[in-house]
Amino acid sequence: MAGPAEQPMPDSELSTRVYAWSYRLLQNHHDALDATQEVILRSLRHPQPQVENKLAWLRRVTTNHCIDLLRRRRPFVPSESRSGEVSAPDARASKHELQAAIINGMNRLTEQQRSVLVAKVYDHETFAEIAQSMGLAISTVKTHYVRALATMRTFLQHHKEP
Amino acid sequence: MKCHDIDKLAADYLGNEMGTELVGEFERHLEECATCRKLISELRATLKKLSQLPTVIEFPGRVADGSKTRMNRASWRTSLLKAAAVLAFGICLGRLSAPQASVGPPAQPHTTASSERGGQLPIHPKWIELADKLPHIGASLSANLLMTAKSHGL
Repeated sequence: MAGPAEQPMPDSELSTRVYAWSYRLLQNHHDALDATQEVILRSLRHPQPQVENKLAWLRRVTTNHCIDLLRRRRPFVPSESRSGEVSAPDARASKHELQAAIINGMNRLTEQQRSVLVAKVYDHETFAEIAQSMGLAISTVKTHYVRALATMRTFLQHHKEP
Repeated sequence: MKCHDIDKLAADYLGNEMGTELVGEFERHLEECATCRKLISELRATLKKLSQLPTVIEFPGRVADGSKTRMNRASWRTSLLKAAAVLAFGICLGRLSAPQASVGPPAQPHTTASSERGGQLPIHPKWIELADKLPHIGASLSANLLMTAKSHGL
């Protein structure tokens, strides 16, 4: 929970963020909604550790939950986009391959590397913000970031851009 | 700038958090060193691919909204009160409409039903059936609502 000095993020905003992370990883509206419910309920049941703030805790729990879901659900076949866009079969297959490669790569990252990567790449937070929210030194966050990218590179290097 | 500086500064460069003057030096080294150039270019391509996963800008609704759905007890209570009010209205309507036989469709009158109800205004048997069932339906729904409320610790 955010300390008294911090501006706590409203619950609705937190839910939005959780849904966005879930959707990024699951690429499915209904699964993302389920994951959001699960994570928010978990956040009500369990107090998060003091070292990281609520947002960082939710990001870590959400990412882990989604990765667990996908790990259990192999072979990984994501559904179509929620927006209902009709994409060409090749483009769709390429997107699915990319998604599978990203999930497989994230599976190999440590929890902290994964959290840093999601915060930086998808939430566009600065290293200082990530460090503060996770209770880590900025240099540690940077190290996690580069190592996470290096691991992801091995999973994504064969993926051709559509 | 040396290769080990590139390793140290790669996060700042790739994360777009490097000052302009350092970017110049960094990129000058990349022009000169094929190994560093390859590494940074691969990491940059990785970042680009990571960014290609589609995302949503808007939260689709209030289904999983912690402040407005099942996680919020106040909201639950309001919903329960509203449901109870609707049920109470239904039950009252059921009880009032059955004996008085004042409500009925303007369609075909049913003689059997009207004679059973004391020869008052004609009522279609479906209305009587529905009116008789209303209190039971209401009771069953109320029990379900209470159980749900209890399971959420209300």
